[in-house]
Amino acid sequence: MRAQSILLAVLTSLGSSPSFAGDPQDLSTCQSLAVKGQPGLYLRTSSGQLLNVNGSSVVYEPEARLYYVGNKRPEREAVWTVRTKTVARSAKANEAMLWRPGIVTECSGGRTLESFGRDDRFVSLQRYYQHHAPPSARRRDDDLSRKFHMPMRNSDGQCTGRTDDPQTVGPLQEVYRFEDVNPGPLVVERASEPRPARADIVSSVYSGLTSEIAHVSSGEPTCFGFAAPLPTSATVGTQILGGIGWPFSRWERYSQALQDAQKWQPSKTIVILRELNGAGNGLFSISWAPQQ
Amino acid sequence: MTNGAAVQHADCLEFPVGAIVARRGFEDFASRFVWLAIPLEYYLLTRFTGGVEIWSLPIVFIALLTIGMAIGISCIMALLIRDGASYSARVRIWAVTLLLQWVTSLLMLAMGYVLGRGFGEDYDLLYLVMRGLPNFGSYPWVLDPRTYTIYVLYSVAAAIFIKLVVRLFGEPDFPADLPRGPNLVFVVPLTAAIMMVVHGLTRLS
Repeated sequence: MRAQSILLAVLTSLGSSPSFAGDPQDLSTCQSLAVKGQPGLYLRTSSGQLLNVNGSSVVYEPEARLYYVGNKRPEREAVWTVRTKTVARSAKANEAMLWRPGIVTECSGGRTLESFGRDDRFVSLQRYYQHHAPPSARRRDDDLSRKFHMPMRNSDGQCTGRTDDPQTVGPLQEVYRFEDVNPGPLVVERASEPRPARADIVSSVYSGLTSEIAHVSSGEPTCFGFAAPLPTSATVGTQILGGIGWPFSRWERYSQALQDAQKWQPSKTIVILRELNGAGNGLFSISWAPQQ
Repeated sequence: MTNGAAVQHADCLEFPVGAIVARRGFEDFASRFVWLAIPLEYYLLTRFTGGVEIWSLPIVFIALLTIGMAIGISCIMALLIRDGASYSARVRIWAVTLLLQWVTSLLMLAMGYVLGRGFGEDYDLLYLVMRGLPNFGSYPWVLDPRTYTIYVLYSVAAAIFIKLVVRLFGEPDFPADLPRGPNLVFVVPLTAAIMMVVHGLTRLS
């Protein structure tokens, strides 16, 4: 109650209602959460109900949305990374689902940033890890550069930094990689290497991995939404069909993931948040109750 | 060159197999040139994001797979396109053609990557030119019109390169008993398709 009163007082003193960039539904949800005034992790169910989920058990819904509410208003625009790792009894993740909204930021030069479509945002762990590797082993992926990462302010306040520039955010492998997850062998490696599949580097216990970049404009309350976890295990067929591009309609990878999620039965999701140009961070755990 | 024997001249759209085998030294060079496939594939496959790591053994496997595919396609094309030569002769002509065209296309693609790196990018020059087009993004994929378009262009560059080299160092007029090469209208798209499938396969996890 005290935090709510403080936040309301701050909002009133500013003489304006909070505004949030990105999804219109995120905007209204963040406005509701700002009124509640309690920092934490929330889940918006498909019926619109808002639940505080940190540590508590909630029923998993593939199209639910998660919200992080922080307790400060950044003086300059803030950029956050959100990674989720989900445990479930199904095939292990060999992809990560990425997202960054297509928004205009202080550093985008007035243009709307390009972003992934809902189907092409599923990228293999190899692509994701090689893009975020140390400089000597790094292979920059053009899609990840353009549609996932974005320009941001450097420590000197200039818009010369980038979310995938080690000089701006520090070692990329520490910021973006999923701890305790390593990409498994590629299909050609499994097919041709004389030794059995390299069990030592298979992608660990998780079957859903997501990574998002969120943006909070200067002076606005820290509140942003991100997707509930989905299974990110792709078969060879799905990957081949997923690569088919124009002029053919793209394989509905997202619909496939939603379909897989119906029988997914996740048990736990770990949410890791980190402010790239500030000291903010968060670690949450969500326990998923069995679906009805 | 032929001491009065009947000669023939490669057409504009003909892969110059006859002109290559007509001069011994040139034929020897061409057969050694095919071995460049291994280092070229190594260079290219370790450039693609999401591709094999630099210590990977499959690169040799992939090169051998491509050679197998080229020979398999040669057997099919020799069945489909009959020009008077025996079936085994047609298979050999197609196999030599596809292997030379493939390695030269790899060379063009590798040069594209070297030039791209010159601009500080991790992609090849043609991709950098075309990435501004709608729906262009990270490649290669197994079945993808964008990947195919880029590879067809490199394959065309390779065909032009081979024709130029043959004109400069080969034997443009060659004996009539030597084989005629397949038409580039078939060779170029087939080579691009082989490259697209093989390179795309290396990114599947």
